[in-house]
Amino acid sequence: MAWIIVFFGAGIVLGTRIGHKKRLMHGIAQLSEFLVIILLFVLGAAIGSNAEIMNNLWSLGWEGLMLAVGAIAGSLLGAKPVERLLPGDTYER
Amino acid sequence: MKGSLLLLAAFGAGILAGWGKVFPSSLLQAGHEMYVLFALLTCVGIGIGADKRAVQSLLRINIPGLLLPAAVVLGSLLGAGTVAVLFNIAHMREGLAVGAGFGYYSLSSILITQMHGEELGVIALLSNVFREVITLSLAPVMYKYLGRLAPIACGGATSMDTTLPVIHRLVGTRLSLLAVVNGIVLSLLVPVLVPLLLA
Repeated sequence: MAWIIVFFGAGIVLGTRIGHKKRLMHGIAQLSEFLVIILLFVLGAAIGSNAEIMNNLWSLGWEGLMLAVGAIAGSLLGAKPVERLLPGDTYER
Repeated sequence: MKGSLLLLAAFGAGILAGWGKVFPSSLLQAGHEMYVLFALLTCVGIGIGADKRAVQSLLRINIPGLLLPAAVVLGSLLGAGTVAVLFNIAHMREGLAVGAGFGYYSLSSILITQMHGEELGVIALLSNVFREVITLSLAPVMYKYLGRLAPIACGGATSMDTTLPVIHRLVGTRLSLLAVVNGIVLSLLVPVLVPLLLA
């Protein structure tokens, strides 16, 4: 799965080079959104045709909610001590 | 927000298409999505590399600026991992991978589906959508009772875009800059941490 990181990293480097080409960047942003739509549609189709997942959709949603609450609770706990460590001017409005 | 609804609509339309068997199952098993995923990751990378605001804030980043995203990474992973094991939902590393979405539901669910299968992919999608929705709806309460950094920490990777307007209204301009840095760092980490955790 190193390829995932390689493509992502190559994209970032490429982005710093071609970032000033406004029309090209607009096209890439649209392509990116289109690809996400395609992949989420395919993920949906794979799930829709999978009876086992479809029958358990509510419990999967419930599990997802519990994991979200866990991740949020952990983040809030982690952020609390950081609040006192940041320089005071961070909080000027 | 409009963009999020469009993505969820695409997912919903996919479910209907799959459920109604509109979609030939041979197409689903071909595994071409991997190439689409590589193309997507390249595009996402280009978008981040081209974003001057993102590059500059990363170059100007200092230790205090990194403390918050570091805390959110640790907290999200440990929180989701603990819940996964405690409630017998999934293995530790599966819980960690879902937590490593940091609210970036589209990319994290796609990555997890490709690397680990559809069931965990759906859990990741729903879980990270919930994270965004909870941030949007509870940010004011969190700000009031749990501290000034709470809405940013809760927003995770979304604190740079979808949840930024809500966060900005609560915390003001100065802390909003921290919210943007937090979101950028966490967004960068999603395509790195998720594959590493599931490898």
